[in-house]
Amino acid sequence: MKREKSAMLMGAACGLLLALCAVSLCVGSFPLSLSQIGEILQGGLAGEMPARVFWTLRVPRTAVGLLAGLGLGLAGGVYQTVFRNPLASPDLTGVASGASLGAACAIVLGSGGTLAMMAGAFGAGLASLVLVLALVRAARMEHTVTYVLAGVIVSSAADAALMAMKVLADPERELAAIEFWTMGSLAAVTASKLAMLAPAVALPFSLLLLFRRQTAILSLGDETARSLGLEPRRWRAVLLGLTTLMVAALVSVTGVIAFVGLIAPHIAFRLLGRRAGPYLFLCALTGADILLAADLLARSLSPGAELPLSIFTVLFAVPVLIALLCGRREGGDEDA
Amino acid sequence: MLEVENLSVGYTRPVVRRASFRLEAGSLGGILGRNGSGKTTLLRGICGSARVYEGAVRVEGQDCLGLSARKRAEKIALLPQRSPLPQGLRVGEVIRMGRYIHGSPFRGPGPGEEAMARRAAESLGIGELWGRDCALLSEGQRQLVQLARALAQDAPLLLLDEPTSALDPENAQLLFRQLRRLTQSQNKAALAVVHDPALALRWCDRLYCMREGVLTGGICPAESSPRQIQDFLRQIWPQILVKKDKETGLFYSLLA
Repeated sequence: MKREKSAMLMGAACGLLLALCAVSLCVGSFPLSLSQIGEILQGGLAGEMPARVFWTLRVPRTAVGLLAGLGLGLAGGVYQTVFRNPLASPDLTGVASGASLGAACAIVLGSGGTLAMMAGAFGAGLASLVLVLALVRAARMEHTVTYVLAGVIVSSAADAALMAMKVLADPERELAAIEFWTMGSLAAVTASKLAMLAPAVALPFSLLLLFRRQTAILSLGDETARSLGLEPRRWRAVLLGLTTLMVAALVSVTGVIAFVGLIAPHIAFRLLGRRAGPYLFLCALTGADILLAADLLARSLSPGAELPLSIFTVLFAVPVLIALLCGRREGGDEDA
Repeated sequence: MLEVENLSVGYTRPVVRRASFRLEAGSLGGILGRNGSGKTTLLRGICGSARVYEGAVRVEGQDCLGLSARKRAEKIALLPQRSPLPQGLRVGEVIRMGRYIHGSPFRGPGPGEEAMARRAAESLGIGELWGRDCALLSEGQRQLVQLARALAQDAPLLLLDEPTSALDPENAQLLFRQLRRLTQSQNKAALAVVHDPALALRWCDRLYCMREGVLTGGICPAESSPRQIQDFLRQIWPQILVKKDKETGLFYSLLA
């Protein structure tokens, strides 16, 4: 019965994802019908506008949306399990703040080109994790709270530097670019960006799913994990490193997309009722469902304009979080 | 089986100083002591969770201090004093984690591993909790789940830090009866930190006393008179009285 429920949920999440992908390929300022898409996939309409729109805009955009949702959802699931904290998300180790600073530096101090922004965001996102791990090591306390505090310190420092960059930025051009980047969007996605992003996400994504048993064992605490034969410090660094690599790569292309990494694991847990077995798979699928739905709204609600993604992910997250807060079961020790 | 030699353990400075003792295979050892005397630190030193300043720990003749976590887990299983059981993990999933070192690190346990985990649960009378969410269990049931997880690990040495702290008297007796049976039938050794002298006197083959980081004793309750046991326990609790019930032959203690 429980296995049937898991299979049914996974099937529903996959079905919804396929439907969202199909709609995402069709919807936009240049609408495509399913019959046109079928024809394009069979090699028809070559060189014509529908085929060009499909291959150069819709497929990269939908694929990056899919990768970003899967990656952020999985990253959130790993963080909440490893840190045994329902408020944990990839932002915990400062990756989003660091990446924002990196992108802002590229805009204000550098050329402001796409590649420079991607490199700046990716490098600064990874640097945030390195700083967090260095702080934890310097504190000589391998506790969950040490990671949280180190993450707060690094995030705050990055946020302060970001504010300084905003002050230095040209208010009409650079400041707007920074603001728009920190709200996330798939509008600027191209096939070349997808080609760079896909391996940087696929490898850590696969490894994180492979290491799901180690992730679950870490949730029992360091002392128990060590007694079971798992070196907690090493495995935590591996899991955080893979997660940060994936999230930094995503954020460098999409900008900061708020709340997906936080909310997807909550929904997956509420649906599945457990944090083992297919839980991490469902976190990833839920993240992709949320992100693709948000992107559809972002490009459909204001004809001729793109709205930032985070507006919709946050609008979706708020009622879900309120519902989770009100319906929270008693007896859990998630914040232990 | 377990040989601890001149072991000094601590965190930023030594808390336990030059502890030495031996525990034979098939025996159950107990450590008594006041809160903060260093009992937990000693267990952590043996299993590699605290800093060892000097000394040696050998299990079945093999030095355990230099071993990797995986190799050490083949020799030593631990039931920590406090170990979180997060919401969303089922009892069976936690107990199966005890089989982690015995299977592939990237796949779940095979049928043999599953059967072993189930046997560990059945031996503690918690088989019917197998599919329950750990968050819905009582504190005592959680403690039994963690113990079953440690038993499933099937290591020759089992360390238990206050294993009965959340159990009612009946379950505390059941737990020690099982431990005694396990050590004797499978020729394993178990070392438990115990706060209840009556429990320790009834079930442990050998008792040690920890006082301000110094381990003393090593008495065998079955071969000791009430007077000897009382003198031993008065190192920790100077007011304690120890008597022997003539009908049952069991020791009981009173703290004035």
